[in-house]
Amino acid sequence: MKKKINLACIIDDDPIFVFGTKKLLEYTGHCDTFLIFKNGQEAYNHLSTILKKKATLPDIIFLDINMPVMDGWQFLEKITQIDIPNQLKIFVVTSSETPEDRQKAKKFSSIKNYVIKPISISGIKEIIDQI
Amino acid sequence: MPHTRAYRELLEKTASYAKMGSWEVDLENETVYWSDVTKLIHEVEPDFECGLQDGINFFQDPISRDKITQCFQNAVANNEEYDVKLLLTTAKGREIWVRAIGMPVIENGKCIRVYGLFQDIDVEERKQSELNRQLQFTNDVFLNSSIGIVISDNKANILKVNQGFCDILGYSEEEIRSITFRDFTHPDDLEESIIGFQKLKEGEIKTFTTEKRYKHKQGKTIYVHLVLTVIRDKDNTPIQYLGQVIDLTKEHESKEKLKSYLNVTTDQNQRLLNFAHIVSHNLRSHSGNLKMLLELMNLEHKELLDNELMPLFGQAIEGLGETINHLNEVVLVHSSDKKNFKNLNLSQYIDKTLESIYATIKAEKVTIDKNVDNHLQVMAIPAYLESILLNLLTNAIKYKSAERDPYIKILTKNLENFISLQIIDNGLGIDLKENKSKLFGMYKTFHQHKDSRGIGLFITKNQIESMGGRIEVESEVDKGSTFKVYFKK
Repeated sequence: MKKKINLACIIDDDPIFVFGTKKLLEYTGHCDTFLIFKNGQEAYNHLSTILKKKATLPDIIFLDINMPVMDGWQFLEKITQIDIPNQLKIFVVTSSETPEDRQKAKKFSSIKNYVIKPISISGIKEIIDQI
Repeated sequence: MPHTRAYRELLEKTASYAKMGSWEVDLENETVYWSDVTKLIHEVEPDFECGLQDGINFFQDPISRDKITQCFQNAVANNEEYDVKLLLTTAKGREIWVRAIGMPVIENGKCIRVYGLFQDIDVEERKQSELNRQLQFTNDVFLNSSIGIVISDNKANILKVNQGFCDILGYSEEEIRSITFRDFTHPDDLEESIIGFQKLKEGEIKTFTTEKRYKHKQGKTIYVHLVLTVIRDKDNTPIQYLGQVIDLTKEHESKEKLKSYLNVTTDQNQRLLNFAHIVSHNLRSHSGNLKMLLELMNLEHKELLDNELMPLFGQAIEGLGETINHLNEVVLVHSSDKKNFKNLNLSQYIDKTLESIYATIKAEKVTIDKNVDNHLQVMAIPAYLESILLNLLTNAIKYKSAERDPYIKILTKNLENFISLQIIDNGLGIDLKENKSKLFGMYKTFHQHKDSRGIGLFITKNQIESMGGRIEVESEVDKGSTFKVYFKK
């Protein structure tokens, strides 16, 4: 039974990664509706508005760490300050393999997992299985 | 001879006060007279009768002996008085300083007797010579010391300097005395020195110690260590100031040089680390994208799989990814932290590694001869220790000789500060003459093995060194290799 996701959010400044992840999710049939943001600030602005309006939140968030304007950590700091009824399901997807970043990720309970780029078809399946 | 007797008595009286005895040699009758004090000085019995030749025998010191002989002969022959200091050896064998005065008595142009005085001046003489020795010593120190010494008066006028002080500043002594401290002290250090001098003068401090700058006669700056002390008279009034100066210019220069080297190195190291992070991170993004795109392309355009270029694309992208992984491993080694160190049982870690490669050991028919003390503990980062052992043991198997079954001996030794681990194989060996300097370099492989990546030993060495240890290798081509690793205890 294939798990279906209503809305996936990708926060990444790399258009190729965004394109590829979208494609993989579409191809595997997990999801076909997306929210795309180029950095943490854009994502925060939009998501905090959704939260205030009590509109539908994404079922999963793919979050990059190194981004201009507001990076992944700053985004996490801000978004976790908002009181949310249902826990956000965030996957950090990054090229950074430093132990410091891995350690930092453990501090946020909303982070479901820490994934090193790139994501393959099997990788996508593993992620979806975790939510 | 009444006048002689009267004279003698007079002498005897004064004599005992000044440890002064009298004597007389009668040349006509060939007799010798010694007063009691004279006998006392010679440390002979009171009834001692001195023969004509006996007196001279108390002068065992050759210089004194020659001197008194000459003086006496001169008195007799040339009618000359003498007053000399001599070293006398008493009857008890003690060496003492004496003063001998002799006066000839002439009758009808001929010396008939010589009389005189004998004084024990040993205590005074020894005091004086000790004083002279000390003065000489002080003077030698003052003259020859490479420490600059300067003596000034209350108003900081220079009274005396030694050669060392002149050498430091490049002026002659005469030139220095015509200038003042203000002339050769660096302007920025003048105030501190004046304050220090003032405090010293007022007794607020006992010594004034400072590191300051002087100006050499030729204009260059000299760095010195100065110790200034005050010389007071018996009423405790400061009269003079003694300054001792050590030239630190050379030390200062090498310190500065070292500092600048350190800055450059730290800077370069930082940039290198940044570079490595950027390369590993940014390259990974691109290579990751390539991999993903290739996967998508294969999914959406299955017909492309028939194209002969596609697998090659795949290999190239795979290779790029692997290189970036290596690079990342290298970067990570250098960011090892103290708190990650643990006390680990070496034997257990070796067993764990051997277990993990059990399949290979069996397939390659490897004999493992493990002779390891079960109690040895090393200070290491667990992941590094695993990686080091795995790399060295798999290398030992990987580079086996085709002509014999692989045999690996594992030994440990408990040294003072280190635990040494030896992994000895009977494999292909490495030509160390050719390759020793490159052995632990990045991307150096010495064998045409299919899995040679040329990164293992580089990372192993870096991991060992980042844990404060070191690695050594001995090898002979076609005999085998021994890798010796030193871990911190």
